[in-house]
Amino acid sequence: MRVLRYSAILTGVAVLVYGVYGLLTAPEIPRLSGVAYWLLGGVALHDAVLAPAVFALCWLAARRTTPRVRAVLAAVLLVAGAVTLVAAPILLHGRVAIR
Amino acid sequence: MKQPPLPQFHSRLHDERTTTLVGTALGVAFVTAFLTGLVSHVLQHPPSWLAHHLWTRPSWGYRLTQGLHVVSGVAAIPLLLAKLWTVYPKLFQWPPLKSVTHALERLSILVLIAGAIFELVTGLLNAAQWYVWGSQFPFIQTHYWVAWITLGALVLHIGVQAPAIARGFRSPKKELPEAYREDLAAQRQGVSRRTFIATTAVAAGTVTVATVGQSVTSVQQVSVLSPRDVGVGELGVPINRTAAQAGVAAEHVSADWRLEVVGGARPLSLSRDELAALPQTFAKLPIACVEGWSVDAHWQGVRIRDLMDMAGAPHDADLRVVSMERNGAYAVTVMEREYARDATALLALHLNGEPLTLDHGYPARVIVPNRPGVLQTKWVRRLEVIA
Repeated sequence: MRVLRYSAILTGVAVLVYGVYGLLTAPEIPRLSGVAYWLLGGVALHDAVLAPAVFALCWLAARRTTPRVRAVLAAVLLVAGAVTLVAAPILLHGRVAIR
Repeated sequence: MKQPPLPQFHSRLHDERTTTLVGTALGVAFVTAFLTGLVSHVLQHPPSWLAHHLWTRPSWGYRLTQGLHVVSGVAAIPLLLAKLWTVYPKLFQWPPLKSVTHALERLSILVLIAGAIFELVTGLLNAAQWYVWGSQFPFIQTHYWVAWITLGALVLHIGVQAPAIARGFRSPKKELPEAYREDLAAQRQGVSRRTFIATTAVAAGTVTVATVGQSVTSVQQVSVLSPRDVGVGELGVPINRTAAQAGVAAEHVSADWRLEVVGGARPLSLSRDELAALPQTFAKLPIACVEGWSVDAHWQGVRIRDLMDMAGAPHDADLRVVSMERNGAYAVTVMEREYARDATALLALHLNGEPLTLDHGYPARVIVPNRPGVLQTKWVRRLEVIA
């Protein structure tokens, strides 16, 4: 079990390093600032905007609603939120033109 | 250092069991997306040591793997959101860094989350052909390398968290009946774990069904969110790039167009009528695009291997396909002999019973089984035998 665990850790590190090396040396990716901006921007958006908004809603719901209503609200929030995110490119950019 | 006021999280669902269950589903989705993505990358940019080991059967292979790639990525969106919700309190752990190992572990988590969000966001936007990142980075190579980084961070994370995952998989009902009853009583105050898991599953299922229609044409009607309507478009097949986008104008394909087959012992130059007079082959083959959409179509044309034989190409020769398109990374591509020699690999002249339209690659285009759509070259000008 221990062997398995440590080999997973070592494999993970090796694959991660391979990916970083590939990203740094890919001739098609001359500037890394754009990639870094998007990588960290996604985390920042989630951790500082989306998650606090969701937890604020959870806090409100915990104070104002009964457990039964809360379960329904949580379900609506997760399903509707996921559908909205997946639909966002279509809503904002439009469907790929039909030709 | 004094602990500053930190947010408090009271839900019982930020526990190891919920995290393990959601995390397992997310892990399966990510590994599926990674492996199918690797297949797509190899088919599009085969490394030299693999180039002659790719197979043309089943003809719908790429359709399946690329459809799965997009589906698993889309399903991972609610799974990732739920997973991050369960572990969000860990962001505020105190002290933030306990040791070098702890710092490294937190760094690897940052890498994992950044990579995961990046892959899902860029993949989703690319499927909708909305290239928001402009010239900040090239999609293909960046999506590819960040996938390796993310997978590495995922395997590392599983290794580091193995004891917690093992605990998470144990059924508290059987092993800790006392704690289980206590937990159950506490959960009555809020949302139960069962509801949370079921809701996450419903969210993943909903977005999957809502988008999968672009690859599984039979459920197209309910897939209201798929970025593509398949089955519409000229001759019942969507067009990803029009002739105008590719820089091909009607005058380039006028009546004096001729197909050149060069590099063999008997170079050929054939008009479209002469091609149409050669023995015709019919094949039902899908067009499957890297963006995940795919559709079956009926093609008619001349077998590529017949043209190669007529031109006196050696039996083991590969083929270079040269298109008339002006802009695009795939104007000149290599077709390995494994594809070129396939009995259904065609230089197609007709699609679904009608002559090709300009946007479908008139006067002649390539259609080969089990290959990504970008390599199904349109507006073919020349076939060069690579001896």
